Amino acid sequence: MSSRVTTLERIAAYTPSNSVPIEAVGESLGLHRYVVRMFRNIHGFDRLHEDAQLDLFGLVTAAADLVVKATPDPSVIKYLLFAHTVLDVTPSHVDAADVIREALGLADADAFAVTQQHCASGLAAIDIAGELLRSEDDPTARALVITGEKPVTARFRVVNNTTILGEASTACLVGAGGTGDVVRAYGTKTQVLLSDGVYLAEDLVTEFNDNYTAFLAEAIHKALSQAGLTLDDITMLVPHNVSRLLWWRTLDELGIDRSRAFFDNIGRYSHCCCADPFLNYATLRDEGRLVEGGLYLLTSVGLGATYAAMVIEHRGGTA
Amino acid sequence: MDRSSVVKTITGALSDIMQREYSDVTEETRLFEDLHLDSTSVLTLLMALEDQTGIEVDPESLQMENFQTIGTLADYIEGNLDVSV
Repeated sequence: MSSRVTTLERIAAYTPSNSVPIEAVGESLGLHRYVVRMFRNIHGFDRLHEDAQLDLFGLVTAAADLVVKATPDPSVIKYLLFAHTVLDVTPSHVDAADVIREALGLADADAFAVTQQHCASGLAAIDIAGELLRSEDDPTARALVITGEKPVTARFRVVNNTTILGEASTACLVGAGGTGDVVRAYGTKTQVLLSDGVYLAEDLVTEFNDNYTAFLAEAIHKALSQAGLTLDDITMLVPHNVSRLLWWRTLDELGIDRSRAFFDNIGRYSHCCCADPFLNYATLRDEGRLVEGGLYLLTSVGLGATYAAMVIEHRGGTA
Repeated sequence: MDRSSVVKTITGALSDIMQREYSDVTEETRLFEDLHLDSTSVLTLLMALEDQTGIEVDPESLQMENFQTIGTLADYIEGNLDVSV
């Protein structure tokens, strides 16, 4: 196994152009008006993007195509990892990852899903991709980590009455020892009682909520420790798009000032499952807010539960 | 709005949110232990009270002790009514 570090060579994000206020979703789902008001006034959700005419494959390939087309020789992509929250995104006889691989024209890539860590599966897939690439002799080999899914059922559109979901997809070209942004560390905390995902019993939801801030803080400190860093070294927290109130409590637990966390996309896009940290990182890049040499702390939490944190060093390239 | 009106507004909002009658609650009734509310239903109740009393809920100022009983919630509402005046 080589010591080449995992690098993010290119990141693309896509959101459907159709943006609707959360009240429209609340009405279609029959949510009580005060529940919707809670989502807006307490949790900080405002709008979400969705396109009923766009199927899962159209959504996912919209971002992935951008990365593949920008890659001079797509045959270097040896692995395609499709990270998604819902375990079954297609009927059982359809291998979604393989359908996407074919649609992208990646004939030589091995395609598979990463899903057992629910919304934290995206960051896990980056970690897995790095390990796979380090086991390759060819330093030019690449992996493509993609996210994106359609929250089509009522149970999945609003999770535990604390999170409302929108649509987005992302794609990340991963290298080992490449010139892109460097993955400095990846830390997780696993809570092993909650394997029922969105079908959690009420007492387990309470347990999940009660432990959320402390366990997320633990994963963050684990990643920082791996990288030999402290919170003071972090340029910006790039979070997953869940409740603003929950985040404020987590920041208080961590001792991070709110000015060092990027919350703009909570209101813009709501929670987009595994896509959130990549979508938010891409937004910061597109808005010219990533600084060369800056250290960015990406987070995700997946029901199950996995609390994940990844430290990325921006090198100022195209990622 | 006097104290009894505040308590009456709270029980009315509770009925609206939880879709059941709360005719036997008092100021000592505990929201979590006696009425089995969870944090989401308490926040939803606050949104109803915001709408029906004119108070403005500041998410940052919320403390768990405000939501122990109907009485402590009434204290919170009255405190915020004073601010809005």
